[in-house]
Amino acid sequence: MNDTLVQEKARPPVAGDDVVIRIEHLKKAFGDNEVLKDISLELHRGENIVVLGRSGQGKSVTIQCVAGLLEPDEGNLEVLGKEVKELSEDELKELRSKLGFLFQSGALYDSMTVRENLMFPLTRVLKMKDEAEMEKWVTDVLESVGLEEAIDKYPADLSGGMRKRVGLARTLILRPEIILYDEPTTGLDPITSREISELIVKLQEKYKTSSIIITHDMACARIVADRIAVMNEGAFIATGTYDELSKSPDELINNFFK
Amino acid sequence: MQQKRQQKIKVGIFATVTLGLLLVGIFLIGRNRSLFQRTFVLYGTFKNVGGLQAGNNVRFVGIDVGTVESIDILSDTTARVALRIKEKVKPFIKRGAIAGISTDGLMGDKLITISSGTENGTPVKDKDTIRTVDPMNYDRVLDRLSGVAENAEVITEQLAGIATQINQGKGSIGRLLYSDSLATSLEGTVTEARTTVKSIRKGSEGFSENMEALKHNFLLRGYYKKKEKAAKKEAEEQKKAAERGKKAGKDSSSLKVQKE
Amino acid sequence: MLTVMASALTSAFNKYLEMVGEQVVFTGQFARNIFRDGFEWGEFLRQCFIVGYRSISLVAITGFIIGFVLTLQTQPTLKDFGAESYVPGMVSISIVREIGPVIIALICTGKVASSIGAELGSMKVTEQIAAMEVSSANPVQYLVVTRVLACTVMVPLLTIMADALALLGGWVGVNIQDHVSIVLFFRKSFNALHFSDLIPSVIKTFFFGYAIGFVGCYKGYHASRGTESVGRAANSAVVSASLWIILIDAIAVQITNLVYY
Repeated sequence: MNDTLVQEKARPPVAGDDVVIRIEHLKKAFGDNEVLKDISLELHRGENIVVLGRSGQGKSVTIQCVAGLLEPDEGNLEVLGKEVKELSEDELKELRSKLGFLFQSGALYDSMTVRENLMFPLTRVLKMKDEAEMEKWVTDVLESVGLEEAIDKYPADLSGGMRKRVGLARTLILRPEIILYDEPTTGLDPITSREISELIVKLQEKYKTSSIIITHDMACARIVADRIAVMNEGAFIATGTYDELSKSPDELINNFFK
Repeated sequence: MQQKRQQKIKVGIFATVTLGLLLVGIFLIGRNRSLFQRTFVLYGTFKNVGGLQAGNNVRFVGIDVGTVESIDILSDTTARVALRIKEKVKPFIKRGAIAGISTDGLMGDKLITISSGTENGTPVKDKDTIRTVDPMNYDRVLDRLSGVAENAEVITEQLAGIATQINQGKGSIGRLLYSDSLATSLEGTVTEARTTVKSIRKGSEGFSENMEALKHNFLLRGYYKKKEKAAKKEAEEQKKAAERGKKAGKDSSSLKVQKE
Repeated sequence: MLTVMASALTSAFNKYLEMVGEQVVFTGQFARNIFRDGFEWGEFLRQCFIVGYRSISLVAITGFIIGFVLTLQTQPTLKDFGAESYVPGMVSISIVREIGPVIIALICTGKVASSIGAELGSMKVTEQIAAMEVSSANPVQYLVVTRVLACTVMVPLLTIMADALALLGGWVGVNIQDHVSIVLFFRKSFNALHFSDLIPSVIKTFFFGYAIGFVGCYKGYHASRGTESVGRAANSAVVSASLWIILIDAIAVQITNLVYY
């Protein structure tokens, strides 16, 4: 795995007090199925955390709780210094506009072109009216993901990798402070996967965002992760940098790095 | 954007056309109810309206000129009917006009018919009350019918008594039946009667034809068509027969020639 | 054995109550979002186009044929009674009061409710609805309000069009055997009609349209995950919306009778 072609991230995690997401003892059950048993995690400003874990361990549920798509049963969840469950609907709305979420499928709106997809959050969330200004934002963000030529296409005409990029562009267009990635590289070929991973790093540097990235793609994790948290059966069993965890004696963790 | 504009236009056309249809429908129904015309009101009181309802037509010289607006009970024996009538026909309805209740067609919708009275008075005014004739009261008819039935019962009883007397050979009818001498003279009478019956049958055939015409009352046209067709067919057959006759005549004549 | 049946019954009943509750909540969301700022006019018009304009040919053909067939079916019977002149009135009353609204609503259910159910169902499954929610755009306002209102407005219009074409079909049907002028036919049709026939039936089509849009949206919006749930959403949207329409019709008859007679 010591492939020198892939340059490992060398930046140390930003230290200390500047926490943007704080998860404490989060619990969530669907009926009798206890998906999250006890989740605690801190995300610092400018940091990329990769959450590793096998399918069905509750990774997606964790970030859906953070995004407010699911309501946790117990525990505290603090986003950008605000306790989520104490927020009113309007405050929650405002908080969400600072939070980006890239869905596994890209979740582009099928009935709209790429341009309309990107304008949708501008008109609905930022209440922008000026066509020319919106156009500028759209081309700007499409340039960042390298897809200027797809502006008038419909999602059905795009490949999987392009859809992910447009989805990423739509997430970025609201200039979020935090981006949650739900398996950004799943279902893509290795080359496109790496392009997406490098894009994530590039955008993080450009827009100064903090991210939680869910994946089980180790190549991706290696490129984007400042820190890695390993999840098993609804709880984190270890956190650390790529190097630290790759040397872990624990078999469960070690299996990921093989 | 161009496409969206076109969509808007298409939706607009569709909505305009269908709403137009709705308006036309409302107007057509409203015209029948005299909603969009100048109208005036006439009253008439009846002892019995015979199932007349608000909304029924009002006819004057056979033309629909309005509708029954409302029916109110004035007392235990009278109901007042308000008629909403087109302003246009006001000059033609005179003071002496008489309103009656009659039935429209077989299916029995009730309607009010206004007939001109005998006197040539001045035209009616709005909210005038005009004279009326009460419709035939079926209850009273039924009462009479039951009287008839009672009478019939008495008559049949008496007839039964007479019949037993006849059977016993009593009285002149009894003798008529049970005496042989009369039978022969009766036979003669019977033959005479037969010829009479024949002529009656002929008459009844004519009658049944009349009945046929009556049956086709609403389909008069169809009936005539049928008759026409039959006549045509007959004519054709006659023609054919004539032709056949001619042919036969020719043949026979040629035969004759040969013979000669 | 009994306990198994009892528990199955209670769980089915609970499921039913849960569904009713969900629908009530959904109705509330819908109602609150109608009057919220930023009504989605563009999307509403697009939905009107899809629901209304795209259904014109289907509804027109259906309407015409209903009138045509109804005339051909009733004409011989009325002829036997010698009441042939009642054909236009009979056709117009039965079309306007009952057959037109109900059949067109059922046709629209098949076409519109299923497509809305499938569309929203697939948006749900591919996380498009979640994406709207997460970007704090309002999916109920954008997706549900526009569709339900478009159906509520368009189904009555389609029904009016179908009624008119059904009368035309009736006229054509009469003219196969006889010759009746179109003016006479329509005059006779409208002579038989009262406002108490037309107005309640137009009002009830608004409810039909609402039922179609609402059930389609509800089923799609609450589709579970997985691709096969899209099909299930479309299917159950058609089934429940049809049932709703029949129920609303039954209620509408009662109310009409109460008000007018």
